[in-house]
Amino acid sequence: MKTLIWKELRENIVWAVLLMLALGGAEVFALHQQNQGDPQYIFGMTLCKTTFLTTTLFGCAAAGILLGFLQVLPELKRDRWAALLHRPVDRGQVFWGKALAGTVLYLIAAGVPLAFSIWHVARPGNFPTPFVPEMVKPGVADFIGGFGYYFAALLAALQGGAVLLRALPLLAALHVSFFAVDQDLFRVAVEAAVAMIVVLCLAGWGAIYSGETVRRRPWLARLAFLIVAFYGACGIGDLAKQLGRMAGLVAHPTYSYWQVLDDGSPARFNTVNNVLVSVTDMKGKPFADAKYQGDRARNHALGMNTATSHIGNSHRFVREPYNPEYRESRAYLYANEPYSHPRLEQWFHLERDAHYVGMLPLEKTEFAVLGADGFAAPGTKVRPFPDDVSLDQASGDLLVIAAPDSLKFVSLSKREITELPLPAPPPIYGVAHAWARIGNRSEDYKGVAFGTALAVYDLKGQVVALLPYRHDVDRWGRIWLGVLNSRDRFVVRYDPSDWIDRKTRVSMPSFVDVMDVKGNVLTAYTVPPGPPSVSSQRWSSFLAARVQGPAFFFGEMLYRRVGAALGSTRLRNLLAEQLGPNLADTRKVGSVLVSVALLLAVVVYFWARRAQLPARQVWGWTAVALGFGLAGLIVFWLAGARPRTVRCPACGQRRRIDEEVCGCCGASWPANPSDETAIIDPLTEPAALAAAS
Amino acid sequence: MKAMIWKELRENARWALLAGLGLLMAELYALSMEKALVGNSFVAVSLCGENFLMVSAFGCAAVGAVLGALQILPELRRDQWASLLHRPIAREKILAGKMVAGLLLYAAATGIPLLASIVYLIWPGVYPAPFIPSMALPALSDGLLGLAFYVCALLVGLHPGRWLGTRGAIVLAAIGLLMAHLEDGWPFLLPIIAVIVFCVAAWGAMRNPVAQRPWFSRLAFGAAILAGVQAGVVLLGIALRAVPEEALFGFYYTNFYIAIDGAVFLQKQDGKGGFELTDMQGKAVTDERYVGNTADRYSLYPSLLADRTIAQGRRFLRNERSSQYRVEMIQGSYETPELWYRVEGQEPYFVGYDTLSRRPVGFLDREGFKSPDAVRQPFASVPQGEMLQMTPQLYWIGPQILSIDFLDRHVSPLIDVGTERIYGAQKVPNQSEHPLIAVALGAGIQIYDMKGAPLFRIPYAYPVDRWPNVGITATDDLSRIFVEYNNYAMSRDVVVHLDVLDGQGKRVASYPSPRERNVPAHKSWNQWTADLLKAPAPSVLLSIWNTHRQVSVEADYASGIPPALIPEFERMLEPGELAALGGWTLVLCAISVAWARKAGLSTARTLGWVGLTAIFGVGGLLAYRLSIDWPVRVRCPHCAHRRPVMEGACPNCLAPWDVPVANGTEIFEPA
Repeated sequence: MKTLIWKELRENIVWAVLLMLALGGAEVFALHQQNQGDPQYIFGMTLCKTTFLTTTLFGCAAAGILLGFLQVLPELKRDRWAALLHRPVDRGQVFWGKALAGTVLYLIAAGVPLAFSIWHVARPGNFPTPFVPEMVKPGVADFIGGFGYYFAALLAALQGGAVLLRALPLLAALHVSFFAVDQDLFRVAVEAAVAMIVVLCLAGWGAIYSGETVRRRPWLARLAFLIVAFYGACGIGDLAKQLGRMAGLVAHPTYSYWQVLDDGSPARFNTVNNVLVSVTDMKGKPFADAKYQGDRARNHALGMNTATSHIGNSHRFVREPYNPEYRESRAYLYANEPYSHPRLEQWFHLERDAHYVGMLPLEKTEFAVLGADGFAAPGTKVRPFPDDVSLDQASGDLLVIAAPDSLKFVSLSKREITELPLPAPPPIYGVAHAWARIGNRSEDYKGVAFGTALAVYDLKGQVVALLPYRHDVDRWGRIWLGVLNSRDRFVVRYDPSDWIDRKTRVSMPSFVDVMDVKGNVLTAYTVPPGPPSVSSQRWSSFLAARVQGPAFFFGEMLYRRVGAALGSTRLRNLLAEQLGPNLADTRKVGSVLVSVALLLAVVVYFWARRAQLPARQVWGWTAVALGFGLAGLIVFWLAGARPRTVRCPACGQRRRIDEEVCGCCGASWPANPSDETAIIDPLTEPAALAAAS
Repeated sequence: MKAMIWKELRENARWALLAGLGLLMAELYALSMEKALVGNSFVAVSLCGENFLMVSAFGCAAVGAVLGALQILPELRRDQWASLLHRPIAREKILAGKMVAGLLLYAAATGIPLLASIVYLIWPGVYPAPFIPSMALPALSDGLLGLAFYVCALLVGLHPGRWLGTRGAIVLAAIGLLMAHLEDGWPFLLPIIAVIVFCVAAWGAMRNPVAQRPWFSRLAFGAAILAGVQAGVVLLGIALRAVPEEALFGFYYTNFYIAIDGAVFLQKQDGKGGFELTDMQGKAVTDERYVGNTADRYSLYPSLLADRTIAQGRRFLRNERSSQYRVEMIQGSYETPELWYRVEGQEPYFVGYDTLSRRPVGFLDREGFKSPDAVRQPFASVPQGEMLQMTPQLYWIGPQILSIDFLDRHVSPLIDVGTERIYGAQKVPNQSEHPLIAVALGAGIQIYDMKGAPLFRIPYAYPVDRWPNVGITATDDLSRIFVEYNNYAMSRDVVVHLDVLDGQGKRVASYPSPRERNVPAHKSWNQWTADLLKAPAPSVLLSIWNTHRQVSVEADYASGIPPALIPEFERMLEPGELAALGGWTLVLCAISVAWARKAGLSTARTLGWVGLTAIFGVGGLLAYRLSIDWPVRVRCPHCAHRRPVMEGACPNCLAPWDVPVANGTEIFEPA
């Protein structure tokens, strides 16, 4: 096999090096390509930048496909295939020789560029952003995914049959790519990719024994091929789903919500398909003032933000943290706005280490770090900010650090930390940003939610107003703050607390109080709950949910149940949502997809019978269709055996030509009539032969 | 030839059908995706949407290339080529038959999807934007581009060169054409030229090896190779330039800072990306509002009032392929109940669409607002509007300014300037609840109140033919008005004059240009390399031309040069850079001479090579090497110098080839 590996390496190293140079150039270019006017890196940073990940996603896949095809397709021509197999080794060893060499070639083509990119990013002085080792995850996931495409290409090249059947391995790899890109967790994406690599590898190993007929392959390879075919059918579904987006929405979603206008009065905004169709006052009538009519009202809605979602901890409610996907740089770090006085600086918050790193964008070097104990020299290990601390860049270079028992204003440019006196007893439950418009500019404020009142600070750290709560903040603990343009009036809105279940919450009213700087309520409104929202989904998702296999649908529920039992909060929450608020939908979808699967199973049963398959296979394929729905039907259509049949001369029914007796009437094949052109004498009796001699 | 056409149609119809179906799906998909983006004023719509045009350009190119390749490459195998040529007709007729069939298939594969897309757009209730026939022009130019790719694929198939040589260069020429096309470079002219060049070269390639082709076919072939190599060099240069070294933030010139209280300062960027603020006497400003990190909240930004180079500016901001040249959304968003468009062209008018039903709700023409089914009376000319629109919106047609409120369906004539010409109008301060209206006329700026009553006039203080862009702003209480003049349409980076006026229009201060680049232009390795890849002769000529012309570089945007190529054209080379480019060109010329001598080329051909290298640099050097029949040479057994195998006598010692030594295996008797 060593010889075979060397042969493959020698033949294909040029292509691997060419791919390495192309992919390496594209990746370095993508890393350095800058999005002008994106100082907060909306499109991601370095190894998590959209352009870089587009390059790795498509580049690794392309490298894998090309190498896989180049290792097999040229040798399928003329006598080269015979020359390849004419070796004193088993065909399986030929495959493993190719696969091992291909692995080395793929490492050169896709691994070296990725490793160089990581080294380039990690080296200080090359980029104006800190390097976080976890940022390699998306690139690594794409690299592993590309390896799947390599084995898919090997299998597609070795597989015989119709074009669509040969494309199934590539479609299976595509399905895994769709899955990996949609996943939140790196681990899940990699597990899926590795599992598919193993399956594709086994299926490819079987295909070298018999490209045309699946049944002649080892049983493990046959099973692997069926799995590949199934996921290939899912890949077709992914593509169809993308195209199906053209069909639009099943129905227009409708949504109503309350806003506070710039005079402090609440207004209900009614939308259909996100289009604002009407604005009404508390009595449900349009406003008399023209500036609040129709679409103009949007320009006169007060900018309000939530300071906290609940007050107190008597219900032991813990808000679920927002977990960005592993492909977003936000999962590892985020950038504050840069500022330019007295010099250009930008601060980055590292999520895992929970501290800030200050960078000089021009010099591309780190100049300081900021942790729970204050500023420190670059590279110093600092104490991380605790989980219950809220960090918020106010404007310019001001950072607000709100811990449960303290409030600090930090001037990042001056490296000064000022601890502010608390006008109400701690703990602090959260901070909101609010602003007032003065002509062409705005003036910022911070609202700090305490247990008994909401304190409003200006950006100099002065308490502008202390607004005592006027409602039961245990039940109405989602507190909003707004500042009227006059700057001496404040709007506090109370929505139901997040610890209350959603069904109860949407039936509860809200309260809006307009208060002066002394905390006196000038006007109070009780806002009734809005009509229930009607959400909608795309036709493509609607149909995809209903033609998926029952095995998938119920298997996913089982997976979530098992995961929840093993302690996964994520899976427990998903299951709770599926069987809680969405139970009606779950039931409806479940009943439809079971019905569809039953119908498809009947179709497959008769189709397999008509194809003259043995009873065991007929029932096997029927079970596949019953379990996997439309995907099962597609797998049967593409990968199922189709024995050639002709009409039986005895009974007129169709019979297999590879069987001696008719499956219907049991008759043998009739002898061919002699027509004088026969070159072999008909079989005669031994006695006649003896007489003739 | 009829049989030939039928053969080709029969063989390739299924591929054309497949390609056509793919293109149809992709185009309809792109349109449906764009439908979701309608309402974003920065996004072009329908047949001019970015997604659709990307699909259309790449799709037509791919369909053309695939059809061309499928007509030639499979027949190059084994005996198929002999079977093809073994017909009682000339080779040219075979090629013509292939091309006629290929063009028919290509027209069907790309034309039907385009027609289907148009039907999709004009179907009532499907797409919430108007469609006018000229919006199909960019897609039609994509069709021409695909045609160029089709002929290019024929040439690549027919020319027996190496993929990492001449064939690769021809492919690069097509890629360069695609890039130029996407960057809006001469959308119809370039593809037509490319089709002609590739056609002539393919015609020659069908007949003979390069040396035996007619001269014009050889010329076309050489042009294709040169275009390909030059495209590769230019693309490399663009890629090198795209690796930026300078900071993302800030201005590179000293500029005026107008404070909200009316004070004027100079804002200068220091070398570390920070700003220094000084008063006009050079004294540092200490007011925390203006020097801190929230200084932008306490400053006033002039709005563009008049821009006499507006055509260039719009061209820069909006690609020629953009629908915004033809239909521009002027009111609404994807969250508003109505979307209003300005339809340009010969019969301009405004039309509104209901966002949810996607059907017209009315239009506005010279007779006012009308229902969708009324007869349209278009405006005499395209209505021009304020740069920053706030309701009521100001539009002017000829000398008349209209005040339009689309939501209330209200339009009223506001101002008539009589015989004067309007260059621009703007509310000032533009977000104020009680603004004034500034109208830029030929001789000055006329200020009106919101009812259209004239208040005062501000004569221009500087020649507006030289500083054509005029910006205006004012303090909230209108006690100070600021008028600035510059020659740069796109930003305030280079303000050249600023006038401060009181509330009655009297000039109280005037400041000359603070134009000073205070961040040195840093030139990195990639910029240096990119400059050395430039074509020497055109670069020098452009530098001389740029030095002597008076107009701003933005005029280039109106010249049809693709924006991505503008860095190749616009920048004047410094003396040091010119010297470096000259030295590098000399080195390249020396390489071409040495290479020509080594290959034994004639003096005339050597001079030709040197000339091409002197004009095009690296591109010329490589293109000549690829486009000629390179002589194969071996060492002469007599003088040991290298001699061409195709010539009977050694050019050095004139000795003929030796007679091979007989070894008994000969099948011919010696002569």
